[in-house]
Amino acid sequence: MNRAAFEIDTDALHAYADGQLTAEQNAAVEAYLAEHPDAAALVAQWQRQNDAMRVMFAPVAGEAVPPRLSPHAIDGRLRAGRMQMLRNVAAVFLVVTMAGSLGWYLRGAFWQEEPVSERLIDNAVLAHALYVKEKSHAVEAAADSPNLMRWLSNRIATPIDAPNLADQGFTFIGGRLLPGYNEDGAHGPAAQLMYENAAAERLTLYITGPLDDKKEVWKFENRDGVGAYYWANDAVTCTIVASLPENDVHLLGKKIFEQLTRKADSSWNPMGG
Amino acid sequence: MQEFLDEIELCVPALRRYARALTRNPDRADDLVQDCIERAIRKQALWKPTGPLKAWLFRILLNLYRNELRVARRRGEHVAVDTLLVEPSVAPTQPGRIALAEIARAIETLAAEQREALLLVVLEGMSYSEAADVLGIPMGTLMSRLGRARAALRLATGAVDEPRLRTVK
Repeated sequence: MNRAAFEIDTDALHAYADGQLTAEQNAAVEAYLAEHPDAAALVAQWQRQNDAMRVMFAPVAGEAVPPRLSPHAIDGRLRAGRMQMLRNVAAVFLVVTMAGSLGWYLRGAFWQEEPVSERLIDNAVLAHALYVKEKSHAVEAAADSPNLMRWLSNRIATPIDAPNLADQGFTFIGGRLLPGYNEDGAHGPAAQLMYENAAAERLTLYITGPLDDKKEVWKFENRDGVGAYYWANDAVTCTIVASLPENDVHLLGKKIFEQLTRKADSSWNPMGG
Repeated sequence: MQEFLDEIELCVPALRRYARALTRNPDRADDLVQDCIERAIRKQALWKPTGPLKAWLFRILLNLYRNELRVARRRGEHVAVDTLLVEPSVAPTQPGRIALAEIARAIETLAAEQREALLLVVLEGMSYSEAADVLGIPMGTLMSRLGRARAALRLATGAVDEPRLRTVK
C-alpha cells in the first residue's frame, strides 16, 4: 500500500482485515468504516473468516514435529540412500569383475589347449604308421646318402646324428623330412629316422628342435597298439615310436636320448658344419 | 549444509500448518512436507541464497500439492471431500461467529488457486508481496483471488444476507 497514494478502496479494506497496513493507514480505514456501516460489516465478516481459519489450523504449527520431518534425519536418509546406491553399484562392479577374472582364470579348465607334446606324439605316431609299411620307399633318403644328417640337422635347426642302435639289433635305414609343430601353431620341419632289426621290425624317431619352454619332459603313451616314448629337453625333442614292449622301448630310449643329446649339446654351427 | 538444514527446520511447523490447511488430512499433509524437504535438500544447489528460503520452500510445497491434485483429478478421486477433521469447537449458534465446520467445508469448495492465496495471507501471515512472490503472480491477481475467495466463503457460509458493500471508493 503506497503511502502517498493511499485511498480507501477494496484492496485497502482487505489489507485492513489482514493487518497489512501501517498505523496511520489503519486509522484512516477505521475512520472510513465508522462512516460506512456496510463496509464495516463486510470487513468484520472477513475478519471472522480469518479468525475461523486461524482457530482451525494455527495450532498445527505448535504440534510436535514428527521425527520423519526432521531435515537432518531426511538428509541422513538421502545420504544413506546414495551410499547404498554407490555400494550397490560397487558390488555389481565387483561381482562382474570377479566373474570375469574367474572366467578368465578358469578358461583352461573348460577349454584346455592340447599341449604341444601331444601334437608332436600324434604326428610321430601318424608318420610311423604311414611309413613303416612302405617296402621300397620307407625312407626319403637312405642311410648312406651323402650329407643326410647334415641336411636334416639344418632343416630342424638342431644338430643330430642318427643314433647307433646296433647293440639293440637295429640298423639305421634312412630318414625323411616331415611337418613338425611349433608352439605358435606354425608347422616347422621334423626329421624322421627309421630303423629296422633282423625280424624286419621297424622303429622310427620323430625329431624336432627344443620347445620354447626347454623343459625336460618324459612321457610314454600307447597309441593305436604302438608305444610312443616322448622326450623333450633343452637340446632336442624326440618321440620314439615302435611296436615293442614298453620295457624294450625304454631301453632303446635311453640309448637314443644319450646319443642325441650329446650331439645336440656339442658346439655346432649349422652354417659352418 | 548443517546451517541449511537448520534453516529448513525453522520453516517446518509453518509448512505443516499450511499443508494441513490445504489438504485437511494430517497424513497427506506430512507426506507433502516430507517430499518438500527431500526435494529442497536434493535441489539445494538450485536455491539462490539471495531469495528467502521460506518462500522457496513454500513454492516447492505448492508445486508438489498441485501435482498431487492433478494426479488425483486424472484418477477421478475425490480429494478429502468428507474428511472433516476439525469438529466445530465453537457453538454454531453463537452470534457473530461462523461455525468452524461450516467454514472448513467452505474452504474445501474454493478453487485451489483461491485457497492457496487465502491461506498464505491469512494463516501464514504473509505480506501481499510475499504471497504474490510465492505464487508467482502479480499483486493485482493476488488481490482479485483474495476478493473472490472471501466472496465465495460468504456465499458458502450463508452470510450473504448480511449487508453488502455497495460502493467502495
